[in-house]
Amino acid sequence: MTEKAKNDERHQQILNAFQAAIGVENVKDNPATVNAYFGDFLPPKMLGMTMPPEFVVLPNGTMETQAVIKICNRYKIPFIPVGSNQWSLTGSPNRPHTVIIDCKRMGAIHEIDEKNMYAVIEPLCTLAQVQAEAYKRGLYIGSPEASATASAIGGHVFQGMWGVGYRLGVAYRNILGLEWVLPNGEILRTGSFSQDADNGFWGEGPGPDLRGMLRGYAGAMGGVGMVTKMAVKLHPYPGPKVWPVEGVIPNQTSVLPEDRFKWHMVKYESLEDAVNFMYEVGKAEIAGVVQKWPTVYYIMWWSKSCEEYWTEWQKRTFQDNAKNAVGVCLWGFTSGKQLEYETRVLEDIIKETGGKPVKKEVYDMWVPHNANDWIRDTHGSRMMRASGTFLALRLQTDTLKYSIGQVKTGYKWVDKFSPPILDSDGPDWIGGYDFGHFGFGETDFPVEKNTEAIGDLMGKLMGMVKEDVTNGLENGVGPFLGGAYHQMAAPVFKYDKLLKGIKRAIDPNRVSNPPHQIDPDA
Amino acid sequence: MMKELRDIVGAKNVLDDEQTLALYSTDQTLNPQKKPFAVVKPKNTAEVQKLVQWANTTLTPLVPASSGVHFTGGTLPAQGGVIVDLSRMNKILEIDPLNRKAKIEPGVTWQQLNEALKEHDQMALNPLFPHPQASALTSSVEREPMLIPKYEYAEPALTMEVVLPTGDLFVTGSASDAHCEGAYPEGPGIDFWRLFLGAQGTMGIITWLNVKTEYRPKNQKAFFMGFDCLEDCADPIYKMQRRHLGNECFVLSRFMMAQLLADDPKDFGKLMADLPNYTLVLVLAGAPRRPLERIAYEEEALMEIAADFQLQPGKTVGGIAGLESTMLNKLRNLSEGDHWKTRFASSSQEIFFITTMDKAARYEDMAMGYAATYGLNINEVGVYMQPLERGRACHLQFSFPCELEDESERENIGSLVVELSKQLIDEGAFFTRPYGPWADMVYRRSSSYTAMLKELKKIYDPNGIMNPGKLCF
Repeated sequence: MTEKAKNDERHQQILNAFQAAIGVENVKDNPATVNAYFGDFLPPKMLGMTMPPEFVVLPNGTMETQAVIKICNRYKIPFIPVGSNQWSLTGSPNRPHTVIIDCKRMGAIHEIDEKNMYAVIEPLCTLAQVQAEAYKRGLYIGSPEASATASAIGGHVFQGMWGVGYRLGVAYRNILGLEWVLPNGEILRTGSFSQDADNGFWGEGPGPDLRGMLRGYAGAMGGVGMVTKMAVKLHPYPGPKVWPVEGVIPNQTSVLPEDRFKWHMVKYESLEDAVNFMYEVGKAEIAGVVQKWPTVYYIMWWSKSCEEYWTEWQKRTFQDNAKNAVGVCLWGFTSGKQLEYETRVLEDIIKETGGKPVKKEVYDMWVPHNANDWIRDTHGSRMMRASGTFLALRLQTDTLKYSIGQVKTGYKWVDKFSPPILDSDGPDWIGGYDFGHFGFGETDFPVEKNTEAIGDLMGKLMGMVKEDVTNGLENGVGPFLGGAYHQMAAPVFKYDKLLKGIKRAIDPNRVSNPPHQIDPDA
Repeated sequence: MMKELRDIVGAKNVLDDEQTLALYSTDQTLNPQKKPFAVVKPKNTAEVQKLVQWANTTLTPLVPASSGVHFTGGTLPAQGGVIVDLSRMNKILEIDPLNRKAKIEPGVTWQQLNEALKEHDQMALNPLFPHPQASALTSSVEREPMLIPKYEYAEPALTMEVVLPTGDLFVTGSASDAHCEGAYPEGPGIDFWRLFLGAQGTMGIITWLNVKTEYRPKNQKAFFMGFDCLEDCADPIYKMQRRHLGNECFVLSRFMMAQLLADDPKDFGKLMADLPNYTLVLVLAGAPRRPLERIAYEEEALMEIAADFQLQPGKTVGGIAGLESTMLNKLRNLSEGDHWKTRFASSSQEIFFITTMDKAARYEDMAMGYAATYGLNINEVGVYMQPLERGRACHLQFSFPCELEDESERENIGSLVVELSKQLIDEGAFFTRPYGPWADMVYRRSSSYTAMLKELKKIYDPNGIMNPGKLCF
């Protein structure tokens, strides 16, 4: 038998197995389908070796997902679970015979417990779906930069730096019970699901908290199997039951009730002064959103097209008026009087810290059109306005103070790699979590998407990451590379034995999106 | 062996006299006595590492103990071995008011931490009036519930240093990067820190922990609301928490409230007579800026909610004089002397679990039913309900006074605790911290979780030397 004939026979055998397990109509191997499952906003060269999957399978529910993963183990073929599939750096096949497990048939909200503030959801269920249902009940959930169209489970497993992270922390804090098919096909139920598969209200335990295996700073990259059901926290929300929108995207505006929501845009002379202001706001425990956006964000979010982006860039409206500005949205959780109180406190802080309000014309451009996006739908796709893609060089989370050094180091690397990194005005995104208990600093910037122009930027970025790791520095960007990063960082930060041990235990056939989270055999 | 231990920690820090071993063989629970063959008191991480390396060589069980007071059975050496008493590691390594965190060693007590934080206008996030000598690190790592149900305050354990059961040193979160300040818990790699929480010392010995601290309110008002039954407390609390009202918020039954307030034992009877069946305590605390204005708008909202439920929040309940100042003093200044939970009897046998407030009354009915069946006076059963994370869930606790010296009482209460726990678990109570006999009840119901935990334990502790016999290990 020829090699091709053997491959064809093997392909047919696996196809039959998948079809028997989840139905003929839910297994795809035709070129039109499989070719749609690799590549996205990142420049093609960034992805390195990527190729179409051999199969795309669409199981429905935990049992069918388990059957698919068991088949992958039987034939020792790699699989990648995808939600809304917005991170192809690790979500595209990097080796032959890969199976994409698409969750398109798992989009249900199983339950919303209004009184006890949680929702039980399936992987395709988007944050927008959960938000819409939550708002009706006086509750809300965050939205990461990827936008509210992202899978809510994906957002919680991946990273989940909410626009409202100042109050909700990072998504790891919002995960409750999990129903999770491990790479070996075993079903793991965590938190209160471990005792009662219908009750996911609590996340920890029993005993050591196995949610710790699910994600790290940048998620699992599909290396730990697939979560098929998750209970997520919802939070008290003083806003309207339906999100107010006027106009049509991208010309929409959203104005929230003024007695419960009020944006302030405060400008400072230096980044240090801006961060000092953020500390004071956090210490005072006021506000629902606190963000220090880089000027590129203002332009990316404000512009409706690439052309408008660069026109606005030339005008310098935001560079000259919003540099080192902090956006603060006060929320009246308790009552309108809370908002009045917080306004007085904020005015005190602004006065003491030497802040100035941004010009009215800039406020009027930003607030009704874009600021509220950070509460509902962060619209991360707008980061593609300038060039069709973007990258980041620093993304560390520690203290707010530490974030200053992080973004300033990031500037230097931006300069070093320009071009193909495009002009970005010192990109410094800084935010705090849990009333400023910790904070992140991120340098995001537009970059040429053209393969020729981008050259060996990926190689340079890997060089930077290696240099940082060698110096014992966790720059926050590395974890987004998944296995490749952990392979080099784990020995330095002394988690190689533990992480490799866990991977070996749960993925004996190395089928869950290798080499993520780490290759235990390397 | 003893010589080797003395070489590691110094002769005076290795104890094997009968009196000491007897002391560590028992605790405040009714669990069977388990005797170690030695108690060692390391003074730093390096000594802990050497002890763990020695234990791996000699295959000796090590049981970490962080303070002299233990209420859960977690430090009883189920398979003998050596107690690693960490009380000498009692330094507060850093107080960071800017980022509101403190770096503490395991021997730091709640009282010590609170006193140190006062100087910085900060306070620790402590559980319900802890024993002043209890370890702040252990409370945080063992996920004891805090009195303030603000979501932003929750999950106070940030980053930590751990001596793994292999003897390797591991640092979690951003503290693993020496350039950082150790504020952020995630990484390196995965969320390893979660695997050390609730682990009862089976996954390693934590040698320091960064914990959240919060501002210490300068202005505050305590309000008290009396209820005939626990069920009636739930809906008002749901409303209050949904509107972000207050700092401390908890419910105590008459018996627990009387124990707490009876600094003078002769007051106990009158307190029992005067107090309502249940008391909801809500503290409105001023923030660092414009504190009185914050209290004012919260008080106005509180009164609106109270009117809806025909409640009258007041400065006292049952006509107890000076209750507000007494309560605030107890909250802000952990007292010396006797522990309030042992004022009525020499021990308090407790059952605690996580549930939601709308189910709490059902569990309370069960507890009272069992108490009556076992011949207890149901007025002497303690009930504590602690809302968590804006009322999204609650910690529910029942306590049964028990004279430790009275064998028949030990037997009766011990049997009650086991049987009631089984029934509660059958009815959906989630024992997220399964100590002692609860471990088997819980883990036998969660086969996949238990199997995964055992796999992890093999990876972390291949020789099974770290506190064997606890949880499902």
